[in-house]
Amino acid sequence: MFKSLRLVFALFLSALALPLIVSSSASAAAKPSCVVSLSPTATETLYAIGAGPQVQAVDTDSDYPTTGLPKKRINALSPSVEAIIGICKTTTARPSSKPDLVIISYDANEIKEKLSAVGVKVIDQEPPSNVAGAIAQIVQLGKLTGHVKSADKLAASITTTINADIASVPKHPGKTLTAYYELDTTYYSLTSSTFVGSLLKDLGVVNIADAKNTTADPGYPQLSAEYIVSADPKMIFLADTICCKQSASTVAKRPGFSKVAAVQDREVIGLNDDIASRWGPRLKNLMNQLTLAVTGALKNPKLWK
Amino acid sequence: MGIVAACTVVALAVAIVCGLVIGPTSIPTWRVVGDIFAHVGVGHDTLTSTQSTVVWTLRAPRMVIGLLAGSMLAVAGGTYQGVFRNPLADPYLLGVASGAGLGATFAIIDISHGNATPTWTPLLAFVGALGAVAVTWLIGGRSMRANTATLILAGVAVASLLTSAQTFLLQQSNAESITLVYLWLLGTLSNAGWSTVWLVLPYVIVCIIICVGAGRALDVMSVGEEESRSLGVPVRRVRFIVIAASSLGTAAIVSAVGLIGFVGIIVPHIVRLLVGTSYRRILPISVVFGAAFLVFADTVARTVIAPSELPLGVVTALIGAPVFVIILSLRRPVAV
Repeated sequence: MFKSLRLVFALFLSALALPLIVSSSASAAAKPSCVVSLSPTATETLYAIGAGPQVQAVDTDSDYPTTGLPKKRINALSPSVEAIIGICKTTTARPSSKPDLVIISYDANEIKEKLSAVGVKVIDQEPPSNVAGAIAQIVQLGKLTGHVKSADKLAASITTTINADIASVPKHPGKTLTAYYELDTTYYSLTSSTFVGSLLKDLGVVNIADAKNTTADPGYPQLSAEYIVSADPKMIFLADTICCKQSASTVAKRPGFSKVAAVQDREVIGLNDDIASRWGPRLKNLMNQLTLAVTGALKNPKLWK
Repeated sequence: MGIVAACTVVALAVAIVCGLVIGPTSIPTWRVVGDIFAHVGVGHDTLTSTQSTVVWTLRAPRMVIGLLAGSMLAVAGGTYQGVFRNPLADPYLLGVASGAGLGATFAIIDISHGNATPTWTPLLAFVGALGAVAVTWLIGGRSMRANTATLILAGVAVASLLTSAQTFLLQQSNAESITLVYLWLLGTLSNAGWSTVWLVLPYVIVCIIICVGAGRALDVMSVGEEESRSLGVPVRRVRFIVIAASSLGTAAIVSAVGLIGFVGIIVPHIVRLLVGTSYRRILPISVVFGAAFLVFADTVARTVIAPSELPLGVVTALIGAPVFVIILSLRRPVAV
């Protein structure tokens, strides 16, 4: 009788422990040992949350962090399925060269479907339209790579910084702070409906591209020099300082731009192209720079004389 | 001939006024016209400061570079067709486009890598264009005495080689560089300022004068090489000078505004259908007609979907092809 009770008790304990064992083995399986990032933003996030050692290959545009990135590179604009499924280092414990997880931000050559067909898990993290979307992607990468805590911490830090930055901008009733945001030298811009545009809107900036949003290029209309000069924006943000070597002085030399308020009153702000086009951990840096610029412009007496 | 010339000049005048009056910014026509008169000492300024900047700093240089580009490409196309006695010849026949494209691609990718500045793009495009023509001439120039087809084939080979090199560079570059190269290849006048005008003006003026001046010699050469020599025309020297002038002028234009297609091939053919086969008439009329055509096309390009712009090369084809087909159906085609 006593033996039977002990057996029942042992079975009961085993039953209690089973979920823990299953859970433990599941999380071990969920922590991928070979991750391929075909998104510069995802690469930055993976390293920021501590998943760097799991990354075995990145795309050719990934350049941050500046050290520690794998040497294996893939062109994200023309990815090869064959190259990707043979890219992971094989060991006796891990005989397959197929990656456990591939992250993309652009589905070139229908790579998502092709990789899924050969059993590779692919996550598509396209550019979000707002901060919440960016935060959700960071949290998702944390869950997928087994770094939930650090991902949550990073997400909370970004959210706090952005909220603090928005709160730090002085209210400016009666002052219309117009701005032109330049993506390249052919005057492609962005509107408030985009990710970066939403940040500017939160800071109280009136985007001159909003009036010219089209269905052809939703969120990213092409403006013209004539339109920009006529709109006479008080601020110009240059997100083409690296790609196209643009600066306040090159803008001032463009035909007609010397008469624009932002140029005359020295409110042309050069941004790092990479930081301004990625929605990862350096989002805080971008928001800080935008906030400083907007606060400075609101205090610039020449703009409001 | 007289009527066609008069109509062409009127078309040019209309194109110039349209180029100054029409744009994404709404400015009343009378204000622009009044300000034009004010600039020649009649009346007073009629534009606000911003309007004046738009008209005289943005639209005017753009219109002038359109005039220069249209003139140069049209007359270069006409002379190429005469020199090679080939109706399919255009200013890009000997590799100017592919050479300039490779030079511009190299510069744009280097800019993104931090090894160059934006001023390198026109410079390397110019060097690439002239380099390509020089190599083509070195390969095919010797046999010009016997057959111009060798030079054309050399141009095709050089263009293919340079285009392959350009494709390789693009394949190795990033998405931003590819976009910028693509936009450059489509051609645009949107970045033109007065500095661009002063930069290309000397080349274009000299080259147009040389090309137009060669009209008589090209007329004689159209009867055949031996006959031309017997009539005292130094065929080889004329070919060299005309090809050099056309290529130099085209290279200057391409380096400033990118690759604008169609003008160089279609304008001389339209003019030929209207005024006959004599290059003494075709070339000067092409200068005026090409200028009017490109300024009008650019006005369409920058207003149809304003403030965005259509690629100029697309507009030149969309306007030029139907016009050409209409004239072709109305008139019987004549030999080159």
